[in-house]
Amino acid sequence: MCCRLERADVDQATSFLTIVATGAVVLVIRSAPLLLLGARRLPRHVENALHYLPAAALSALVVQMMVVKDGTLGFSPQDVTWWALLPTILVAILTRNIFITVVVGMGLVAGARLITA
Amino acid sequence: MSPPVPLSLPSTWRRDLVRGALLILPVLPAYSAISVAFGVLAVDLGMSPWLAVMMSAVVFAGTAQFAVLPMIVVGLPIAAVVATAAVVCARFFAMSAALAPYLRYLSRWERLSYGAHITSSNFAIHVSTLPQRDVPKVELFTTNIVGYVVWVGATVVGAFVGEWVGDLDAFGTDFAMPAMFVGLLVPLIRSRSQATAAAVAGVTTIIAYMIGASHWTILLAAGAGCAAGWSVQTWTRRPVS
Repeated sequence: MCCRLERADVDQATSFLTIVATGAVVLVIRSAPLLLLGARRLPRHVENALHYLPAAALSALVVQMMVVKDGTLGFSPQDVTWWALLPTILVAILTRNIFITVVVGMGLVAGARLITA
Repeated sequence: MSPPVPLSLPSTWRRDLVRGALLILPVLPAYSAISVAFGVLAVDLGMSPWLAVMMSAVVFAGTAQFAVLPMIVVGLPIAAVVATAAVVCARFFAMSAALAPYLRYLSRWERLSYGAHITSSNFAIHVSTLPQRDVPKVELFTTNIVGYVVWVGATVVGAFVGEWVGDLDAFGTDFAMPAMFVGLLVPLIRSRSQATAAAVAGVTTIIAYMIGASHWTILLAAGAGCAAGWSVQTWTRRPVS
């Protein structure tokens, strides 16, 4: 970390340690169930409930990213991502293809910004 | 001519490599866009480019990286940063638990390596392939590693040449992550109970924000969604879909 000394307001050594600590904690969170649940099974009800985790977590993430902008709850008609969301969901339902969904979604937002800019 | 026995192993390897790479391919545009945007933002906020790249390599979780980046840059205490990352990533704990029954054929080190690469996308891919068929290890890890390499590589691009890319929002990159999650979510909704889980989780997200539980949002919403899906399944007495 020799370079960028001009940005001394950010302590690079502290940032480095914080990033390592963050990575370590995230790794433990992700790996612990895989390492500890190896031989055992979860209770049947818990396993059944976990079947709904992907849909629940993904839905929560989408809503969070769409509704919470800059840390506050809100909806603004000027935000073109809102107008792109519904067509993107339709494309996902019709094609069931993540690649096409992402490309169409980004294309709609980019196109709308090009026009409104 | 001798029978091509020695060639059989590489050919299955090649097939598994291709299959593993093809599974992650649809997600890569979103990965690239999000990760380039992360590199650009990190350097904009005053982080050194190498630290930004290291962050993508060490943390490898978009939601967590964007959540803690502003905290690291202003020098908040390690404990505060780590706690935030832990809460944002709590969903990975549940994903890991959900995959554990299908990953018993991995060794201890392979499980650790697999765990390090759990993301919402990899999870969505493997939660649909693993219960249906035996997934060879080469295929399993190719999916994870290709995603990881693209993720870290895109941060390199964003952090080092981001200045010349200009305003990334013009290309719709800020919509890449929501679009990717929509693409992952829609095929999962195959039953009334799955639809209920998604709807309840979405509504809970908004309620959690209104009552001020912002850091716990995803965890609360995922918990409520699972409970709702499970309840519908139990009431209708249909098998898990």
